[in-house]
Amino acid sequence: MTSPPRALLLGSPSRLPFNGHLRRVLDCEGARVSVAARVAASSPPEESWAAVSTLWAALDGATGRDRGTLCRDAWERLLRVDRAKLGPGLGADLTLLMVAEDAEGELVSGCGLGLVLAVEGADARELVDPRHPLLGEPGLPDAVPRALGPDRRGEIYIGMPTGLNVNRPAPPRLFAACGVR
Amino acid sequence: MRPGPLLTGLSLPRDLELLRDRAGEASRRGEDLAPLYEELAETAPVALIDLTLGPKAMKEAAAVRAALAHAEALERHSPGMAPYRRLASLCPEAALDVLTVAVARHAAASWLIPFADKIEARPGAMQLAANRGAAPYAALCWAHAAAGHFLALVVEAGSGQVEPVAALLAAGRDNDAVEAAARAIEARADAPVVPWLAAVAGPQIEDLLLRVIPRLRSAEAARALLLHLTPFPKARGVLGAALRGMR
Repeated sequence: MTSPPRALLLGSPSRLPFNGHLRRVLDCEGARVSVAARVAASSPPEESWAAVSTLWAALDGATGRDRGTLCRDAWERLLRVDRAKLGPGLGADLTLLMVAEDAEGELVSGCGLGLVLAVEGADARELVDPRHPLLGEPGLPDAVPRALGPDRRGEIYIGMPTGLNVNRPAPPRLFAACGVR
Repeated sequence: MRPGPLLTGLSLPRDLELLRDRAGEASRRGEDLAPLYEELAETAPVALIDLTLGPKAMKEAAAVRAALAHAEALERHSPGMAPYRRLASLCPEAALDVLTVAVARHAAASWLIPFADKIEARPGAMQLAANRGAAPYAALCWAHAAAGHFLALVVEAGSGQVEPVAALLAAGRDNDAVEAAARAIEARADAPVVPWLAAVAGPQIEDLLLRVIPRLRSAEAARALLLHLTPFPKARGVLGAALRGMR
């Protein structure tokens, strides 16, 4: 994987800003899915990591012939996770941003997102307005969420977990605030 | 109860000057001042304060060490860091003893951080060790990192603690964090180094892990680290190869 991840989450303003964060990119046939998530972030790092590992393992083998089927398959795998393994919140504190892409376009979906930025170069714009269904309360949903198909392509999407109150810097420092090293 | 020999015939606080002279001579003769301080703590605490912390306080190492036995009484007169700072300034030779007592009595105090700077060879080491397993341990690691006590944190990680590793990384001391991580795992194979590194720096820490691997010496430590490397295929491959060489 040489290209940058398409999905990122902002860290929290704390001593352990990325506690419970996951980032994974899966390539499959002609499609790719990027996932950024945060789970059990209030737990000790050892417990958060166990929850992260559960999500990681759930995504193993995600497959699809295009962005739509890959996105659905990744979500279906996540929905089958044993919620008892997602920390004391049983997955109710999950924030997740998923970007599925293929040669024809891309799909953005997620849960627990208070804001999604689309970043291209030095520009960062809000992808959707605050009432858009892409945004909402945290928690692993009961069904595969609807996905948004953005008009533009190739942007990096940065999610801000619902309830997280941070001053977001401009790119490129914005990426550092997402733990991009 | 009859007064001890150094107090015989004296009326305190009137004869404080005379007492100071007697105590000074006794100290220079190598006499133990503990009995005198003991008596003063009970009968004339103002005189004890004068002898130990006053403008003309006794500077001999033995006198300072004897004063430390009455730290509680000294703190009643002068709370917090003040009595310790004064005692350490009176006799640098006894400063480490002063710090030892200060840490024992105020393990989590933030004033110990700058205080240690002037005394310890590895500032912060004593306070960090004293707080292992205690609630303020992580916060203290961060505070010592902010104070530049990097060597103490690296050494502290050698006790198997992961908070020093994370604090070093948070302070931007990647090299120290890598060394500390290796020491932590070597000391305690199940030290959760990867979760703590990722909690500070984010999920993209494979570069750090690749630098930890060459510093591992034991197969047990390598095997334990391998368990956490599922999201890091390159590091997993490198460590797997290294592990085969260790067998």
